[in-house]
Amino acid sequence: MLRLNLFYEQQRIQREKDYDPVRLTIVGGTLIILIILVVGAILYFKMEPLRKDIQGAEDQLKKLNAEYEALGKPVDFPRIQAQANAIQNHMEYRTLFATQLDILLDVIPTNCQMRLFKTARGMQQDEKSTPGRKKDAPPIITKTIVLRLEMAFEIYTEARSKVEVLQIRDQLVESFRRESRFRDWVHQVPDESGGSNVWNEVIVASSMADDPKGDSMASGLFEFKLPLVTKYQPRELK
Amino acid sequence: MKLSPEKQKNLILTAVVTATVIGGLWFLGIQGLKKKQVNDNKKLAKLQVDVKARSDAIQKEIDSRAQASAYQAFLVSFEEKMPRGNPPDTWLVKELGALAKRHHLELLNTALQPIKELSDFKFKDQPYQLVGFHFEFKGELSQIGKFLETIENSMPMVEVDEIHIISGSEVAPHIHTVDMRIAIITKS
Repeated sequence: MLRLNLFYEQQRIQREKDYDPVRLTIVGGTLIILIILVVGAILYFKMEPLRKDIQGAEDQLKKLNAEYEALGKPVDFPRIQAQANAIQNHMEYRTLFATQLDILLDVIPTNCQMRLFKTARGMQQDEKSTPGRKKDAPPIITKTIVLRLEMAFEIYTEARSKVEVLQIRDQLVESFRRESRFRDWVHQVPDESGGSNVWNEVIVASSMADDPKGDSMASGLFEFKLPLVTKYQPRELK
Repeated sequence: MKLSPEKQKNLILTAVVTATVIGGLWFLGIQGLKKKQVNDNKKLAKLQVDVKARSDAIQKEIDSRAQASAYQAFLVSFEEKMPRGNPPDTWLVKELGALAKRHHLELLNTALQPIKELSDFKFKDQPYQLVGFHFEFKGELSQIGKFLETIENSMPMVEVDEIHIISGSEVAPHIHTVDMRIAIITKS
């Protein structure tokens, strides 16, 4: 009697159906796709705050642009400032001669007479050379214009002898050098003794002293020059 | 397990289709989202920079306007004190003449003189210029000093450019002759 194991056949068919590679591939693929979709969704929702931030920033920028437009034509601040500064500098750095003349009249003793008072203004061109940046490059020459100012005055005096006249001149030089009220106006030079003090720069431009003749006394005529400080910054030439 | 040729064909087709779909989703979906995130971050950073720049520009403009209006007020008040007229000698003779009269002095030989060098030094590229005004007068040193002081204090647009004081003759040595040039700011 031939015995057929039909159950085995049935099992084989079921196994073939269960482990069908095509089916398994579809199931596996679908699972991976689902995972990718979930990851994508998570990513998408995670980007939500970023989208909101972008939208917020765009709205803010739009609002600021409108605000800026509403302000109208921008003001030319550097031009106005430069204009005001030029005026301000002129007012602040101008040399006031009334003060100096006043100090001068105060310093000159009663036995002296100021015969002449004058001011001289000049412009001096200065050149400064700095080595070029590259090797063998020509030096860079910077030209500037500096404002120079000088106060000059002549003083006449009389005394019994020529020596006395010259002593008066020396006293005058000393007074002008040491007059502290000039400090803001007159150029300063170091103390000749080498100390830390500074003096006002006083130049004796000319000195004439005559001996007494007959009844007349000895006389002297001296010209002093005081170089003044100008607070204006040198102007660079382009 | 041996597959039939038809099954093998189906398997390959399914695998190719599945791999294509997965690949497409991965590259277009996930990588695309990641790329978008990077780009969005860059966009946000740029927007934030733009917002800050615009905000700063507005603030700067507001500050500039406040400062500019202060400067403008200063310029207007200063320009009001400037000599009027072009040429301004009529105004100068009148104003300085009145000042001189207050100090019992009299202006003589007045003349306008250009002082281009000093003007360029102080007001290059500005809508102002310096004009020289020369005049002479006679008086005692104390009077001269007071007159000079009044000019310098009451006229901020004026700077004494040159002054030449000569003592008087033997007969009246206390009367000095003054030869003076002042530099005045005017609108160019």
